[in-house]
Amino acid sequence: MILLLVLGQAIAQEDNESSGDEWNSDDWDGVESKWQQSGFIELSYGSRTQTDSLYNHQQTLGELRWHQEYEYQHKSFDFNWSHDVWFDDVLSQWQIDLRELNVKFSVFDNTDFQIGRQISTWGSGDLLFINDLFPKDWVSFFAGRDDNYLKAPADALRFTSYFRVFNVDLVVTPSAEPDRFINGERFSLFFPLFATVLGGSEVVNPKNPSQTELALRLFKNIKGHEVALYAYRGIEKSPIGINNNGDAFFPKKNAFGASYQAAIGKGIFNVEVGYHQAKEENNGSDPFIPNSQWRLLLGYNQELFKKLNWGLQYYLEHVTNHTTMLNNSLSPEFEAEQNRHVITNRFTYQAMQDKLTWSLFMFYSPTDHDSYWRPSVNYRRNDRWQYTIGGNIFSGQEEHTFFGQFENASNIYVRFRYQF
Amino acid sequence: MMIKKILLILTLGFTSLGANAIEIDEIIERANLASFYVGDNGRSDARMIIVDNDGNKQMRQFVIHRQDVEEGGDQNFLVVFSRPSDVRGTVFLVHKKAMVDDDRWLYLPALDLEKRISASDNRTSFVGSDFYYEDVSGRHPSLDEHELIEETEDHYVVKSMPKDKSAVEFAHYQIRIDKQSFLPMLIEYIDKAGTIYRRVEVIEVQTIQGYPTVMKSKVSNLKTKGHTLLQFRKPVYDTVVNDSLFTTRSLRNPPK
Repeated sequence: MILLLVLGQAIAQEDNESSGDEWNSDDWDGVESKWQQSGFIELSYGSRTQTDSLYNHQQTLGELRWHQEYEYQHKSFDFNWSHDVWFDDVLSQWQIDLRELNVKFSVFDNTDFQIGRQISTWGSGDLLFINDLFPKDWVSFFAGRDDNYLKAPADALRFTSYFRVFNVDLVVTPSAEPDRFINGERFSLFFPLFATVLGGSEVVNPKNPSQTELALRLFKNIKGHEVALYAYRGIEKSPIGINNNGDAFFPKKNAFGASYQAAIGKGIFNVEVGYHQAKEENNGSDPFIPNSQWRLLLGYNQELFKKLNWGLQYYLEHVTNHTTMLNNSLSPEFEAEQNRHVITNRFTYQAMQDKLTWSLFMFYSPTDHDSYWRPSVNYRRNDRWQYTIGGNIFSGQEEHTFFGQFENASNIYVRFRYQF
Repeated sequence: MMIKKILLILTLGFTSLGANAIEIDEIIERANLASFYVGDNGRSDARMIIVDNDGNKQMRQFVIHRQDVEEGGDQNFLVVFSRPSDVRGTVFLVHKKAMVDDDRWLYLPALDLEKRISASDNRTSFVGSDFYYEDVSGRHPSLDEHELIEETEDHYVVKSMPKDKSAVEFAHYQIRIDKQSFLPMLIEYIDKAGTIYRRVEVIEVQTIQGYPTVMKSKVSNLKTKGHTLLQFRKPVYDTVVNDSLFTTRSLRNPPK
């Protein structure tokens, strides 16, 4: 009902706009108002390209979604609110997600505060994250929701201070916010201890973590050369540990890293490195907690020719104490190799005066012999209507590898959006 | 007497030839400054109305901030979008370099993503409009050979040929420059076949703080029959600019 009302209102607005001459001289939308609002209604549907026998229905996406944003701009602060309400046909229930509820303000001329529910991002990777340990929504990402939903909100305090020598960015999340990880409810996943893929219901249901997360970034832009140092104290964002009761949990973790980004030739080059320190695992002998890792990323992107962009990344995960881990593992045949290599390619092509966007993102791991393809086509008919069709295609030779385990999650989807 | 007359004509002729040779560079230089380097800095509300050949309209509304690092040279731009809703809060920061590629950043609010973007072809659509990046931020005068082909009472008419033909889609373009304000009032782009296929025209000029300022302009794509109107509102020049305005800080915290 609410959806219909909003939609009705929005269509009425559109009708008003089509009147008047081309310059429409009085209609400077919202410039004078301190309140700004926007949103969309979206209908989407997605289905597996093959059958996952763990599920009765092969539908992976089916929703009618209402997204709404409000912003209030005061001289001395900004207030932001945004939420999503949708009927999820896959889970057969209504869902609500408060994505933003925060206040932003500046003090001492050099410091910006943001307090409340918010989305945070940093780091140099493209869909690969080394030092960005803010919550991500892998379920939305795999199901073919808008890319914007990859980032999940957290209740946090962020302050960013700008100094002559370097800038400081600190995000404190009092009660840790994990990823919205694959838990079996929509997509199945591999369990080494059972040597099989499980799913069809919420097979991973850990206790929510309560630790405080601290994420720190020191950064500076020196004439186009962007350097940053990172530190993180918190948890593994997915419940990849198993405790004494046999339950999945979020092991404690620290991370330290650095990144550099600059223009080289016609494109942008970036390098990022990070050490992920498993706090509850010292020498690799505990089979229930993953070992510490080094992670490395090299990337380059540029416009190949008019409106065709290409991005290439090389990513490495290096497991420390790998031999000890294999010696103690309960399922050494399923353990990842000491060095897991991943290569990604992104192609984006815009046509019809930017109305039509072709996109393909590919992950490929030569060590795991698996891949993940994300093709999509978006047609932005006008400022109101957008149509998207796309897929999430996983393939692998073995069902225990990172992407290979999701082979049965491969899906295609379609989305219709009306925005206002 | 006769010889004197001939000498006089010759002298005048040479003088005017000489004057022309200097003048064309000066005309182009002054037109460039009048179009893109007014004052030391500027800020304006702006909006584009994009109209396709069927009359379907789209809108882009934004605030544009500009700062000249060097008159006629490097500049900084900050563009903050407010409309339509899928680009609301998107911020575009450009450190324009006259001689090398720009540094560009894009901020996408839904992801809180501060994205460094590579320099792109400057003769492609700016935010889906018929304007090119180059129409908005300027084309460096040294990229073309300029020739004064006509001088009327009110205008200079200049023909400009690209030095690197492979880098652009036009064979040449012709600019009609107002003698008083030095604003290019009409630019027509001509292809190899000699056909005008694209037109940029000034519709309305107002004097703001003593500077002649384009308030309305229009780009017509004569091939697609689409056009885009660009309109400015409340422009101001030479304000006190905070040092941090053109840094990446403004991506997350654009000026109010």
